[in-house]
Amino acid sequence: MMVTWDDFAWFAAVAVVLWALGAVEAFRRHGRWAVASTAVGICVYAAFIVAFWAGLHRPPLRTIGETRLWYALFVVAAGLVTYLRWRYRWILLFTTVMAAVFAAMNILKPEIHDQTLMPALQSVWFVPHVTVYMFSYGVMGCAFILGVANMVTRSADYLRTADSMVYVGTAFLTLGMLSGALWAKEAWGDYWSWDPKETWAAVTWGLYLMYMHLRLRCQNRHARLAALLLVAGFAGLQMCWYGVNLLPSAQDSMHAYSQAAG
Amino acid sequence: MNKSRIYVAWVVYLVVACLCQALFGRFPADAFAFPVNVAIMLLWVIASWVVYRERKPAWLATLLLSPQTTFILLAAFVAVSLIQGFHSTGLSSAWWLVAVIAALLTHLLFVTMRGTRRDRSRLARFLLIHFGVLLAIGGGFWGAPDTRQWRMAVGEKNPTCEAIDSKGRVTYLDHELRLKHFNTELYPDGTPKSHAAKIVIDGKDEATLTVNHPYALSWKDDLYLMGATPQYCIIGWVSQPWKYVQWVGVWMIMAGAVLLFVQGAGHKTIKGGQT
Repeated sequence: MMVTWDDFAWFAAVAVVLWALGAVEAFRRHGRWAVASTAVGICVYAAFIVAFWAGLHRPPLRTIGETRLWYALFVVAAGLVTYLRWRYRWILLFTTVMAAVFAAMNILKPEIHDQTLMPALQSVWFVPHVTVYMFSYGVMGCAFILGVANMVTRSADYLRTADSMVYVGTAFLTLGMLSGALWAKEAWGDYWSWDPKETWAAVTWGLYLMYMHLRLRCQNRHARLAALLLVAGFAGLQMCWYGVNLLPSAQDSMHAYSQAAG
Repeated sequence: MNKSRIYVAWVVYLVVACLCQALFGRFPADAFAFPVNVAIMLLWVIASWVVYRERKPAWLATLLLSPQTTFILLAAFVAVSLIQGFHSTGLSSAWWLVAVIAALLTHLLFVTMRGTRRDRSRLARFLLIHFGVLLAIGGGFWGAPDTRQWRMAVGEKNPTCEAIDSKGRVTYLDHELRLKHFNTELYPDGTPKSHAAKIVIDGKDEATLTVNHPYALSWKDDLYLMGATPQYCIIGWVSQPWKYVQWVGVWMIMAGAVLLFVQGAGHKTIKGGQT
């Protein structure tokens, strides 16, 4: 049986229910059930992506809608890892809400198209570039939640956890950006051309580097500034992902296919 | 040099860059083509090494090694990138961008020199990332005046060496190209699946160009398939002698990023203002 986009709502519903159950169990301090439920939800959701990929005969990474698929998966996965490592009871609730929002957006406004993959996207860099980016977006989504938690509670613990998330997220952000640079050289002749999408990637990267250097130097001083940088970095990611398509500067972008893609 | 003077020094530097932009317009990058760029780069490296080693003038060494400088220059980099991000035309030759990247590279050079001479944990990660960024951005910065991009409309009838550069000027290149065959494979719904252009270079060598697969014409020149019409195909000709420097830098940073993921934050207290 071939899995098509029409099946997404069922897979997403099951996955979101399982993630929500996991979030509830985490609040009830039933750690094992929380982990098991969330993990099974991730497997259900990942199974859809794998089967959809097979049915589509190309990686489902071309359109904004397709990248949202991955984001929902990675943000919950990052939340689960954070929960396993630091046992924040509330993190699964937030990642579940974020993933549910993105899954709902895909149901209401799918932007999933046909099996075609334009020549420009047929590159060995396509899958690593986009998946690595989406993974970093998911991890940075968790860091953003921790930054907001720090702003609300003023607890330094959240920023210490955010440090770990930002190191992981920045590592993947860097790999995503540079795999894009290597791809750009093969496709357009230059590693970097200050295209709007590239420029916003640079802005985001710079913001996270500011966070890392601030934390490295100042430890727990300037915590509010650090938390603000997490929020600004997350806003930069959203611009880089889809917000840039709304700007007039993006009309002549070499990433013009990303009016539909991520 | 105290903290507030460091902030003042960088604000003055950036204001001067903005004034240059207002007074002179675009940065004259073409004036720094080889060998001028190499000569200035060598002077820059040697001068930086002397200032770093001798710590003279002391204020300059302090300025370029201070953690405040890291933060200010990263913030300035974000700011100029934001201007770029919201602007509809390319500002890559604006004075303020050149000034920020030049300062960032100089600071990076100082920090990297200090990093090599200190016994620090995660030295490999530090060097891969910082030296990698130095090469990747430095290669783009110093190599920009030597980078040339042309577009050529290459048809089947007559070989051509006429090209248009990025400023719209017509020029004649060293090799003649002729289109031998162009093929487009389509999906069932009629959208293109692949393009392939077979071209003849100087009447003898044949090359097949496809999207994402450039043809290496020489150590610095590559040909790209950029588009096609029924009559001719558009070939991009890129001459970029510094691409190898950037390539090494990019892979060094990627290796450093893997170490960043593997080694993580660590929460080790670092004293003495190291960044």
